Amino acid sequence: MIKKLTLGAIVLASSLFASQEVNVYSQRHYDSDKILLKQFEEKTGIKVNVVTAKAEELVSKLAIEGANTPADVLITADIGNLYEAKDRKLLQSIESKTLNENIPSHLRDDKNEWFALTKRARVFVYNPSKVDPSELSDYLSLANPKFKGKVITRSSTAAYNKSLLASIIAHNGEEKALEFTKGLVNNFAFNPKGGDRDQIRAVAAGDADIAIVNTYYLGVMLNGEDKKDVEIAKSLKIFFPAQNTTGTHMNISGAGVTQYAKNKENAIKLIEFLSSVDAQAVFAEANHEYPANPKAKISTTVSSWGTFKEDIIPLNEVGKNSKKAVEIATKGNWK
Amino acid sequence: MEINKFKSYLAPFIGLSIALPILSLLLYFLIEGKFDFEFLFSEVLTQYISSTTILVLGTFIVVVLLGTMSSYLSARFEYFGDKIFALLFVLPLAYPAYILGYTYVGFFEYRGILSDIVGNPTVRYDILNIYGAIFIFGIAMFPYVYILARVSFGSVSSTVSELVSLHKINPIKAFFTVYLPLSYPAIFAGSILAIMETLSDYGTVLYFGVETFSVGIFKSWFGYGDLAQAINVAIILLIFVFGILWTESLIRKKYRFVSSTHSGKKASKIKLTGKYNLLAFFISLLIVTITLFIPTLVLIYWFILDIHTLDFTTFDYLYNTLSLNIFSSLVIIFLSFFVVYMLRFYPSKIGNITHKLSVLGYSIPGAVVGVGLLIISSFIDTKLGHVLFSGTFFILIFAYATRYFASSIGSIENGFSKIDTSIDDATKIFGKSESNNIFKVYLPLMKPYIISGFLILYIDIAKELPATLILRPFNFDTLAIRIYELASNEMLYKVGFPSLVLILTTAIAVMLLNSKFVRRKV
Repeated sequence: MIKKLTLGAIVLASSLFASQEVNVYSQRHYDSDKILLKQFEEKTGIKVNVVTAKAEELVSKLAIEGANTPADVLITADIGNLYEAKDRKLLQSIESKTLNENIPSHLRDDKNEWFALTKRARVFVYNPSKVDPSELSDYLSLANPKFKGKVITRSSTAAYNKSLLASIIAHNGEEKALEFTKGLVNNFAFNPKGGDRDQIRAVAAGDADIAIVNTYYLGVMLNGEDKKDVEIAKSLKIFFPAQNTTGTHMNISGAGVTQYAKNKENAIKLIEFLSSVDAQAVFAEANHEYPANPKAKISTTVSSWGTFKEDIIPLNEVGKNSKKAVEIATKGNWK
Repeated sequence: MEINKFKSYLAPFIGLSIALPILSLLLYFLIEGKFDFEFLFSEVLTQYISSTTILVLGTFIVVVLLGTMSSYLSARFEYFGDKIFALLFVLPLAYPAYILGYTYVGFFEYRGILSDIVGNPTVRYDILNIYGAIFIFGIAMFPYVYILARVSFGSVSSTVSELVSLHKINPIKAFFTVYLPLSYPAIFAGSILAIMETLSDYGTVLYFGVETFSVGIFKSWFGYGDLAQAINVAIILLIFVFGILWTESLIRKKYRFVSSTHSGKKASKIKLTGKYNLLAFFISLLIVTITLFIPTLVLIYWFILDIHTLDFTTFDYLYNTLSLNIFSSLVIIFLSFFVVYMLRFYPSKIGNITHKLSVLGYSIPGAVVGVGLLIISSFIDTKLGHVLFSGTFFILIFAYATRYFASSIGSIENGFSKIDTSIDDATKIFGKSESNNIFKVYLPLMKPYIISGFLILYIDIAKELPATLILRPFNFDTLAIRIYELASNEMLYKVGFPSLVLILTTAIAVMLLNSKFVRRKV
């Protein structure tokens, strides 16, 4: 009898223990994320298992694994892939009062399948000695022939540009988006290459005058160990586009509970934790992103850039147009 | 007899299993039957073909130039510093191409390290283009040519070298008229390895903005979510690879006579003096400066820049890298030994075919192999009704086997080809049992080849990124993964420390590979 009881207790304990975990597929590979997940473990006793990879690979992996997937949470660094996961029925709707309170409605899915963790503003970085900011307006204006040979941005295959173009399709239609693409490509100082940081350097070097990049790259450069990076970043200025029209395009880094999550409760707890004011401040401080939770503190560097009008188009609209964006980029010869 | 028949199926079975991730993609394609002819003549595909061709040809030229120069010098001559150079020429093999790419971007970029050295902030050189990529692959892969051609140049018979000195041909002329033609096969074999590795690269070409087949595969797959088109591109890549392998076999046939001139007494090295000594020294110094010193110094500079935030978790990644790589390499090298042994004693036609299939993975991007394996493991798991394979080390090691079987089996075959068939006959007559023969005769005879194969695998797997990224289990990051993560954040100087640690481990493997113990018999 005692034997049976002990055995039962062991089984119960081990099953309880086993359930105290949550498995995460994440595209975000920042050290700050690792610190946050550790904090969550310490706070809740729930073990967090993580595997990082490119978002496209993680979404493919989820799709191939189907019901067998070990993943409970998917975290991506842009809306395109998050929407792709939703569209392929890889995420599930969850109920969470905390998340509804912490994350504004335009930064979460209408069916609560995904939630933004951070916002990433896609802006113009320009050389103030060559560009008069009064000449700058919205994204479409960069197709104007007056900017010929002056604009650069990375490849259209980069998620951030894909989503930017998708948002232009959503706002202005395919025709305008193609026109914009062709005009932009025509204005390129050189064909797309390298990452956002390379674009910033090229503007500082005088190879181009305006680059379309995410703000946090500049933030990280400004706060880096490399003094030359700091100087380069300081020599440039940020322009928030489309202030008189749609507002600056905001991509997100976000999370969702997977369709076949085995640890659904823990998954929800984790996303709730990541949306909390304290966790959000860590995201904001470490990588100079904009926190999704409006109550969270932003970094000093970021706050020095001031406030601006954000594009609050439902992000599923951006996600929906992602594939069309690839087509249009190819048609417009945006490499 | 029944047992022998069973045994003759073992090698084909293993060969087929190793090719399975690639075959499953082909099978998927055949079943779906969606060959897109319109796509075949599209501008996009023309772009992939032309960039890939330029990249391959360019890399070929660079590796042949650097590889033959370095191997000719170190195999034929004694000059100032020759022994040190002989080692330094091999060491770039320790560098993953993507790390070389980062370091040279950091070196040449605006306000990069070069501009600091010359003290002029406007000095910079744009290498983020196809020529930059050719340069990076060239310096990363030339040791393949060096290693093989060095053996070939070194085994030129004394008759040839006596003729050269008799006719008073100067070293440079002798190189072009005598030694180079004798070493064509080795140079080609080395450059084929370099080309295959270039074709399978994804990270470096993407960073440099070169639209090769592997970029095309992922663009189709992830951009359009179109698996069928991605497989279309992958199949055209395979045709491309077959074309290269076929050309190589033609060339090899044409120069088969070469081996006869290598027999007999080996020619001794020529001692260079005066201006030739100086010239040899400066050429060698130039090669190692470009291929080794600059990248290493850049990494050290970054390491110093970031020294006060030194990340000690790097040693956890090191532990993971070492344990995973050593175990995987052991598994794969013994699998290779087993396959070659079985093919030798239980040959079959089907065995020859599966053998050819099993080496295909070398030119296939790791991520394609990775996704192929995901599909297979999920299929089996779904059929079983519970998770047995997905997300396990077994699957990851399987992927390494598919990717690198060619390099390990090459070393083992080389070894077996040097064991005289009379030994086989003797063991058949006098041997106690087959397992006894394997452990007492063949394994000891093959020891240096097993070690060299193991080291080659170790180096390849340590540098591997895409398959590891997709297939590794939870909470298991290697140094390559860590470097990838840091580089993705676009803070290049952060990669300094983990890169140095990774390269230290691969450099040790390269030095062992280059050591007398391993080289004596290989």
